[in-house]
Amino acid sequence: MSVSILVVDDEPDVAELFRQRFRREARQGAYVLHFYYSAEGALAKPDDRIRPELIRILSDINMPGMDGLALLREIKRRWPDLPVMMVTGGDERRRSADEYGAAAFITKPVDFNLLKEQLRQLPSGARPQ
Amino acid sequence: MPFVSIRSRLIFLAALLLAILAVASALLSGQLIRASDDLAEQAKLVSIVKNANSASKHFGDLKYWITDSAKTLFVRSQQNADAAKARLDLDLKAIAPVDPAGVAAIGGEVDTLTELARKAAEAYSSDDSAGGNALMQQAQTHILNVDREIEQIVDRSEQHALARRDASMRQAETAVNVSVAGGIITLVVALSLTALIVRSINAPLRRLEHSMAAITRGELDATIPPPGRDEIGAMASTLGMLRDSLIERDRLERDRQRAEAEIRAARDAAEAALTELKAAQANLIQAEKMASLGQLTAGIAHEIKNPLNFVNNFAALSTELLDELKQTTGSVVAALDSDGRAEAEEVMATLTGNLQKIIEHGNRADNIVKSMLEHSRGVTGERREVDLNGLVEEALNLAYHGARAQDQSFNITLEREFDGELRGMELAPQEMTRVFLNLFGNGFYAATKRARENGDASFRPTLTVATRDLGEAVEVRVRDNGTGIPPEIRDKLFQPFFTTKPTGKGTGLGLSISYDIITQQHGGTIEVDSEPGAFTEFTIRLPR
Repeated sequence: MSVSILVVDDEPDVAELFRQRFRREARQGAYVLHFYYSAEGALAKPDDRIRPELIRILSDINMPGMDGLALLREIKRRWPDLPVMMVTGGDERRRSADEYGAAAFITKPVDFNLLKEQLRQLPSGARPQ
Repeated sequence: MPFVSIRSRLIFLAALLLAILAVASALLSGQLIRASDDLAEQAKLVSIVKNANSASKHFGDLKYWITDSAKTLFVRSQQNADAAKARLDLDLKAIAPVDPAGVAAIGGEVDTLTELARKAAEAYSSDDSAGGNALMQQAQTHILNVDREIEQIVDRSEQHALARRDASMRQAETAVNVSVAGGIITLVVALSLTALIVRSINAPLRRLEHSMAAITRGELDATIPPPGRDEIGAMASTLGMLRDSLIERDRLERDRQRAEAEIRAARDAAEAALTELKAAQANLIQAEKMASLGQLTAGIAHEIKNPLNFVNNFAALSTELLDELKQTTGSVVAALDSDGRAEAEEVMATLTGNLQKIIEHGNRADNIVKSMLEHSRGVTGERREVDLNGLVEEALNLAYHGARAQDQSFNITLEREFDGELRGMELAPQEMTRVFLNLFGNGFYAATKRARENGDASFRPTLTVATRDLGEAVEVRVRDNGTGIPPEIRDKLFQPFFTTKPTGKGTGLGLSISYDIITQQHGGTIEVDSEPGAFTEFTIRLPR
């Protein structure tokens, strides 16, 4: 069963990092990574292109324009069952993220082993309607 | 007496003495005049006695010659009788003022006698001897009368003169007695009066002198004689005024000194306040510097963190990739000739080593960034009531065992001077533990560094930790006998990234973080005292 991970971060190299970190999993077909460089981009009809349709979203909080928390709220408004994991440098906005229904909270620098473990433990989630 | 001025008293005394003198002189002069009058009177009486005697003699001549002339009828006798009568008249004239009755009686008798003698002479010339004799007989009676009369005058004048002399002598005696008595009385009165007046001047003058001497010595509470109307009284009142002005002067002097002391105190207070203000200003500047440096640090850390993550992540990934590459290309490399294989293996080994270096230094940088971020996080630590002695002890053990874990040869003498009375206080335990770990770590480092550099086997590195309850605050002192801090770098101690440790051994953030925790989070102070080559002592004061 393949899972789509939507990574939202304004830092372009994050994509390369994730790609390499999830190299093996991608090769094995466990995860398919999709990268967006802004919250707005992530919200623009993700369902059209995302395959497979079992989706996890991993979003940075601090981004120019629409930030990660706004994205989280919007996603929860549209697809309440979609698990969203928030990534941040500090823990100062953790409470907001929890309130808005974040599935997990990951602090930078990202511990990829931990992240992979958390991804495995997430509930099955839902595809966007 | 003080009601009369001394001048008046002296004038009075002089006038009185002069008056006494004048009266005495007048009395004596009167006595003298009377005595001389008496003498003149006596002389006159003596001459009258002489005249009376002379009259007696001349009447003797007259009665002889008048008898002779009547009997003889000689002209010569008649002439002698006239001459004797003339002389008798002169004597009688001298006596007349004294004894006019006697002289008049004598004159009458002499005239009668003369008349009888003439008649007798006529009788004799007419040879009437019997008539002549009868007349002469008659004349004889008158002669006896005159003789008696003259004798009486002589007696009287002699008695008069004697009486006069006796009276004079008595008077003179009285005068002498009166003079002596008067002189003695005068002397006594004058002496008494003089003594009285001198005393009336001297006694108050002496009292005044005592007062003046006392006041000159500075005994301003000395009694001053009451002011009076005389000169001494005036001087006393002047002295009183002088004393009052001296007292006033002393009072003013005391006021001035008090005012000066107050001014000095105020100035000292102002100076102290200024010093405090300057210190506060310096602290503020320091705090501001620290705060801005802290912000800068946080900003830098934040900005560096992300790229550093990439460096570390990609380095780790590259190591994995390199391992994969080795496995994948293992057969290809093995197929190479020995030179090529050696070169390929060497390149890959170097590459692996480089990546290890990148990871190692990346982790180092990451630690720095973590410290910096902790630094910037500021007041987050949870506060609770803790036993500070226990906290310090815990941190001390932690620091000691941490240092031992890093270096087996590490050793140091720990001295604890904990205030047993120290009450629990509220603070952020984790943050304070960090502060203590920092300070203890620094102390360990400095003391062992000195031991290492010193080479003296007898030197014992020592760290002393003391706590003290100051009531409103708690004091913790951390003292090491290490290398000390040179004065020129003391200002920089609390600046972020300032370190004297070799590269890689210290981040330069320990004291900076400690400073923030103590001053900002706990509102306390941290001060350092040090003597290079001897000791360093940090003093932390935390208000309750």
